Amino acid sequence: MKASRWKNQWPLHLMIWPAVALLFVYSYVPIAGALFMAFQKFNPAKGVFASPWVGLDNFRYIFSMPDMGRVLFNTVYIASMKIVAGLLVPIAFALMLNEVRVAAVKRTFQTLVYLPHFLSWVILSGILIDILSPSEGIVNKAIAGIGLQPVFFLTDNRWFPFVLVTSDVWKEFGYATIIYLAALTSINPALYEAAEIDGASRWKRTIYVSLPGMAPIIVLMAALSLGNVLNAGFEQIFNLYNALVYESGDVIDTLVYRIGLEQAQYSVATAVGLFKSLVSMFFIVISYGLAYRFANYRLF
Amino acid sequence: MTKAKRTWLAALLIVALGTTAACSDGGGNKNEGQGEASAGASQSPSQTGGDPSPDAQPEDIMAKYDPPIEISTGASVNPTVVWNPGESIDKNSVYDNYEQELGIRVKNKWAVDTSQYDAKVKITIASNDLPDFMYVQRADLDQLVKSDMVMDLTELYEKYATPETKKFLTADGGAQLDSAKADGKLMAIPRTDAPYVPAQILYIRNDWLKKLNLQAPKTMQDVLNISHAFATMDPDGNGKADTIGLSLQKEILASDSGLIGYFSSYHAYPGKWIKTASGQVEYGGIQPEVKTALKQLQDMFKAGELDKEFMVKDSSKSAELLVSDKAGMVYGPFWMPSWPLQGGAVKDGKVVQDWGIYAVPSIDDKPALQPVDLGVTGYYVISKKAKHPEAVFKLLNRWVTALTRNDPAEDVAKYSQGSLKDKPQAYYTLNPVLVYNIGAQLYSGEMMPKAIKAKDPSMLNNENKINYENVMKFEAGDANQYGAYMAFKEGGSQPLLYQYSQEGRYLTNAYSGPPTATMADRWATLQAKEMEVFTKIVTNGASVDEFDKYVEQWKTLGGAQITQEVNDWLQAH
Repeated sequence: MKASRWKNQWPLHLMIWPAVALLFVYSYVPIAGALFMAFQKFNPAKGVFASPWVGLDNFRYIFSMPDMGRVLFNTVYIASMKIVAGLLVPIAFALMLNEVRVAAVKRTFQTLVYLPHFLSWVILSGILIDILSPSEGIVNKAIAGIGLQPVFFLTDNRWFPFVLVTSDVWKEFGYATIIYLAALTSINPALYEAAEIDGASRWKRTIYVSLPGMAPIIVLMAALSLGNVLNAGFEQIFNLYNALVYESGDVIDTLVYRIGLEQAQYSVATAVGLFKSLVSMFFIVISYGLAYRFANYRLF
Repeated sequence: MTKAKRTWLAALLIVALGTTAACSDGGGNKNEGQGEASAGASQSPSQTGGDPSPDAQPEDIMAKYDPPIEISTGASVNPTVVWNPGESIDKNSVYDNYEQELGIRVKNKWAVDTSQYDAKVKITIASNDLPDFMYVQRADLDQLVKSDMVMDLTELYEKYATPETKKFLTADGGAQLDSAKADGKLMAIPRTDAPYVPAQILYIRNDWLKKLNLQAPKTMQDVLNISHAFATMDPDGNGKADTIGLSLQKEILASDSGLIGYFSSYHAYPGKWIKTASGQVEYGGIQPEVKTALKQLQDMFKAGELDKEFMVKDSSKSAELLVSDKAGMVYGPFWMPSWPLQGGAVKDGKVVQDWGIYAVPSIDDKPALQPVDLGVTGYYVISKKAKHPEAVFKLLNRWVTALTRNDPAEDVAKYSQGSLKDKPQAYYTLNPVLVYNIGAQLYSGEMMPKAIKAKDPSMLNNENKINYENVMKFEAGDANQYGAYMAFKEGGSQPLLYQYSQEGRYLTNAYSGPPTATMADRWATLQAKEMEVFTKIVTNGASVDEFDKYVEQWKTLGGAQITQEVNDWLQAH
């Protein structure tokens, strides 16, 4: 039986080999290269095979950097707030949008909230600096209008992380909303009708039909986003931060940019990348386990 | 049977794929082999040509290659260049002319936007795939030398640089060329440039001074009084307290809208290495003079004389204050009148803001010195694998000839044919090897006011004849030439650079060596700390005594070690 299957299928097996070879050469070999680099003092002329090995020196160097504790804290703090807000806001918005019965209104809102996703942080940072300005900005004009003191959003260490989280959620939640809306459309309408006949209000229908229907997607998105716990968003912070908020805004990526790219310390930058990948992998494994246990979710 | 057919088809497909891969691989190898063979062939004539007469004649140096050879480089594409039809960074009148005149075909291995050039160089180095020659920064050069990827140019320089080129590259006495040496060997060609470009000048609104009945500043105390008056006495006369004194940007040590000029009034030099009375070289940013200057800035911030939001504004954003009549004073280099000042000073063909140009005054009776660097903006390295390293020197020689001969316009016109026909700067933008005259600003600063006064451009070199025409256009009513007028008029910004040099008011950075070991590890951290502490003190987020703590921190975080290494390096060289 087995032998005859092999006889029938061997050309198929043969056909997959070029793809496997390509994947191996262009995806797995570089991974190995990067793994080596993190433990070497990389010298471009010698390449990854001949550069001298330094063991864990690069990692020791990273963690001996004077501001590493602060930087690690900022990274995890900002990234976790972004993960939580980035999950809750689009879910809530998708549920609300789902209740809108006029298709034109629904579409308009969906497009409008999706738009900022296409703007780069270089442009958005310019706009944010303008609208958050303590003297000229529209936000502070409103704050002054109700009789409060202007807030220095971009230079005050208490405010800066929240500005980062809010602006990031504002930029990206339209994108995630689309995924949740798609999940909502896949719920069987018969369930809503049955609930309605049983006398469930709109609120009850949302709680007992819509949310459970979305649960697998929510769990999937949460599991995937947990891998981002060390990604606080380089592009955004790099364009918005300044010397006054290094204390609350300096994250791993900005630090790596300064030492890795501006000072060409390739090995150190690679070591940080490896460290980030390991932590992310740890969290993804944990979150997958949780999803498996509590939502009966299986990826494979 | 169809099944058997399909099986065979699949098998055939796989074989075909395999062969294609093998072919392309073999092809690549073959090409490489050919390249080497032809290179060897074309190299030997030049060697046999050079060997019999070691002290080669100048004509031999510039001999045309026949057949033409090819050398590769990495190109930085200035986004403001507008190409003529059919031209590009890969094919243009400058490259064409080198091929016709010298038999050198310049090929861009890659071409990127100017803003991405440095990052591209670092990637090129990391992937060990250098073009024959390219322009790199100091730290890159250091790494390339350590990694043994670039050629030792000592002998090539002796043999292939013309006496004219040698004179040009050592015009400052040799320090610029020496900076490209490692262990006595010349590892790169320095892009020499005038060190005076970043020297600071104080720009003040003269019309505001007049309105408030204030005198032009002679001392730093005058400057502080003017700043206070600008912020409090409504110099624009609109009845609102919406003006400030000194305009700043968030990079407080940047050369435009920064504080380098301000600090120099207090004899403080953050960002530079200075020789102290004891003969030791120390870092300027931790000296007690800095604290005094910061204290004063904090007072100015509290009094509303600085922009309350400067710490989030980059240079173009902060320039809006100057343009829109909100700030009356700014420090910057000699080109400030062209940008950003012209944007506000010239409206609808008329000059509406009256900016004055002032030498940076001092807080005491010692003159304020302007800190300058060596004046080398980067280095040209030649890859170890380059087959025709001497061709780079030919390009260099040709460029130096064009710059120094009596009538450079001839060359400029020749090379600019086609590309940007009406824009002679094409030559300056596209030439693959660029070095500059270290005295250009001083020459203009000395000669231009004389020529303008005598109404006689004949005493000027060609470059300045163009400047002279622009100034004449301004005097005839063309306000768009404001930048040229302010730079060259009597008392203009370039004459001021000349005045500084006459008065010995330049202070050269005491350390211009490569980054030391600890510098490579710690410098980024120390600079971030410096920015953070300075900005905090200025914006009144920290007491000025925080500076003393910073100095201690600076030393323990690696600063003391770096100072030691810098002094050791200086002693060894």
